[in-house]
Amino acid sequence: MNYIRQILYDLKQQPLVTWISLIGTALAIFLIMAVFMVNRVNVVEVSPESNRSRILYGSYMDIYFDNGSSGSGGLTYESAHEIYSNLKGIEILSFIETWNTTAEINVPGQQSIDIEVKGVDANFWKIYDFHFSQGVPFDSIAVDAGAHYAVITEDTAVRLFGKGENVVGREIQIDMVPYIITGVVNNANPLMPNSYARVYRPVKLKDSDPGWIAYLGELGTVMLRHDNVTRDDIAKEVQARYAAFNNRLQKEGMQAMYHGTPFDTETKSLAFGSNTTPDIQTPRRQRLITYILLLLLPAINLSSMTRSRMRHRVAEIGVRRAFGCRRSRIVWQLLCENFFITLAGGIVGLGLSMIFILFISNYFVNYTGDFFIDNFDQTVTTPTFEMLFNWDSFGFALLLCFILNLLSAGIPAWKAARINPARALNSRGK
Amino acid sequence: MKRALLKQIGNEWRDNIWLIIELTIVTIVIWFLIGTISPKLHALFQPMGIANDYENVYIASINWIPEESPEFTDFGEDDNHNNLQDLRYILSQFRGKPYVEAVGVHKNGLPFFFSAFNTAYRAAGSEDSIGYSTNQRLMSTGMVKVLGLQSLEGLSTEQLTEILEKGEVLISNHPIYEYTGRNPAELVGKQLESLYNRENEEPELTPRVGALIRAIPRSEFESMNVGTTILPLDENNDEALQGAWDVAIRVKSGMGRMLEEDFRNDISLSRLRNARLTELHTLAQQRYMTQYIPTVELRLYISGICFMIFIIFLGLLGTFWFRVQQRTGEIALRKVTGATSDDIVRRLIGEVFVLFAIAVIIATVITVILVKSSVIPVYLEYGYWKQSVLTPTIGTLLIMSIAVMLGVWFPAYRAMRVQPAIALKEE
Repeated sequence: MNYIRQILYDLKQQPLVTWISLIGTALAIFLIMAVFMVNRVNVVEVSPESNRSRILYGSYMDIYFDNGSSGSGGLTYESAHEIYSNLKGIEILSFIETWNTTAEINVPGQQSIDIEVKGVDANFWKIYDFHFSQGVPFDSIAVDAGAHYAVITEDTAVRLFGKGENVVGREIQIDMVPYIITGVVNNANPLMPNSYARVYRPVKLKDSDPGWIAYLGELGTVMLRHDNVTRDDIAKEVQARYAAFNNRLQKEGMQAMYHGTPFDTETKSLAFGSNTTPDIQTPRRQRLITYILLLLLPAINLSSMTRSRMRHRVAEIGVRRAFGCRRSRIVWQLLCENFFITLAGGIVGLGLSMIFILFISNYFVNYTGDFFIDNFDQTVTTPTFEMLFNWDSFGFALLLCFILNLLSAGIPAWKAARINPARALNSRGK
Repeated sequence: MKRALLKQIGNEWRDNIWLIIELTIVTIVIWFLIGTISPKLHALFQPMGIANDYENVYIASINWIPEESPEFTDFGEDDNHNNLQDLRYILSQFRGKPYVEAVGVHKNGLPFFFSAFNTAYRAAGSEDSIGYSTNQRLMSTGMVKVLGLQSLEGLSTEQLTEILEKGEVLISNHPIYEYTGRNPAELVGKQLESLYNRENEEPELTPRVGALIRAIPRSEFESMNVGTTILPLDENNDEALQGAWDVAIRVKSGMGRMLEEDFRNDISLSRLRNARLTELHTLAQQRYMTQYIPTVELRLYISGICFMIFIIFLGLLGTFWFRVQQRTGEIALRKVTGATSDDIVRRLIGEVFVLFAIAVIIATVITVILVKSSVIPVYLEYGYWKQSVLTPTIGTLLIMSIAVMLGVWFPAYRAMRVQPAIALKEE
């Protein structure tokens, strides 16, 4: 209680400096938390990607020819099967289209709408935890048979059929081809591009379109690893598969470049095209530098303000020292007092960062990690509250407050505690 | 005065070191941020080479009904020709609308798409080993008016259209040509050959160059790339039309809504048997999507600069507020001994600018080290040093000077208002 009283006293005695301290702290915490939460969007585990920590991706193939030319893209079913099927430690393997397509969707006889479509197999629904509000997903028999079934999202069902309609068994056309709806799932999030689409249909496996280079196609794989194996274990196995694959390719004058697959979700979000090895260290280093800068610069500022506030308490400290108060006790008290200001600023900063991310962050942040966007939804979507708020974020904010407090008040408190009592009393509070 | 100023700075060296550290870090960060956005901002103010009323230009993708659709029309062996004839009919339907000004088809012809058909040309038969790097864009004659291509020789849209109609090529200028000592005007009237022709093979020649136009970059943020070559795409030639990607339509100003409504309601504008047009949207919408990422990045970096300025402002405000408080007695004494308010302010401002100058020197040394060790990437070739080095340096000094002035102004104002008698009485 005394600490709060002291802050209120400071606010009255030195309103400018105390307010600047509060604003500075709030701004620092706001920015760091904004950076922290923005980066969490690519790793946070929420439905339908609740298994993110165990999901791995093998989405691309990069082939070099002996004459120096090269090509890259998705995989064919054969190449995907050869490299990623029956890996030890993989619980579920799913084949999906590497890139979504924009297709015209309509109910026969009605206006069409342009919507993102993803081709997936039956295992897709086991890896991603979509909630079915109507019907069921299509099964592997339907996928193998190339059945024209579709699962659509709730918002697509409303756009096509209106609210409250039971749409299972109804027909839609995808690019003029009829499909039967088997299920309706909760809306996917455009900020989770690996699971996002508005219409899902069975992927064409064995007769998928071959690319312009043999072994390049439109498919990719999604894997759910067992808890007791690491990504690195599986990567070693995949690397060995690449070596065997290349033995065969060499005879055809080709070589498949290994880029460290399978990727976890964070690495996949950093994959810049299909022919590069994602660099996860540089963004992490940049993030660390950003955190340090965002902590250090406000800390230097806040330190001078803290000193300014403490200047008025020189006499009080002198009296307490004269009556035998230990330096450590004075340091502790000053740190605690300052911590309450930091905490108040921290709470404001955390609140501001959440408001910023929930409502306007799409004006400043590209969440996709891509170098271009072909889906309007991605430009207007911001993370959901569920994606942002968890105890990790709260704990991180609290930790930041501690660090900021220590950085900004540590030296001033230590200096204040070292004041010679006689000199302090002589200064009469000046 | 100078000695007193330096002595004052020396007396508070511990605090000043922190201030110098802060100013140094912020100077480096702002230099880096301005250096990053400077090429983008520079590109943003360059002409796009086309008319900028993007909301009056519509794009629709050319698609074909797949064989597996029950609505597929089977023409037997003449599938391709009949489909293309149907597409031509749809195009003619658009041309008949009173609100439509021009219609064209293209392959890699539109800006705000990331595709590029890059090659380097030289005049046929020349020994030029550098040539003119260009992005090849294929356009039907209607595209000249749809996009509003801009001649560098004062030719009208009709004259440019005629040139393309004759099957001639349009070629652009580009700053990179100037830096490599090339003048595209020399190519007019000549046929071009690719620099990448294989030896011992007869080079494939383009039609002759008919006129010079402004380059069309892929986006408004594209700063370092290539010029543009426009090759004719003959709508009446099946093979050429088969390769077309989209239909582009220019409507009269403000009449886009009519096109959208007709496209929705009049099936003859979107489909004829297997030929169909989909995803009608404006070039303005395409521009928004294509430039979303560089735009948000630009906003982010500018916000970063603003944050840094605010940090410096707060830092100086806090530090000098504290100093003025500490020095109230000293300021009063100086005033009593004849110093004016201007002298007091000058001392404070001088103090902060000496610290800033020291910070700039240290920041320069650190930045040079960071650039040389490639931690901060800087592109110096083809005159880009102006955007990579000169603009950030001038910009940083200017922005930092303003932030420093703002930060110290309020404490200085307070120092000016110190009443010597009252201050000394309190002392």
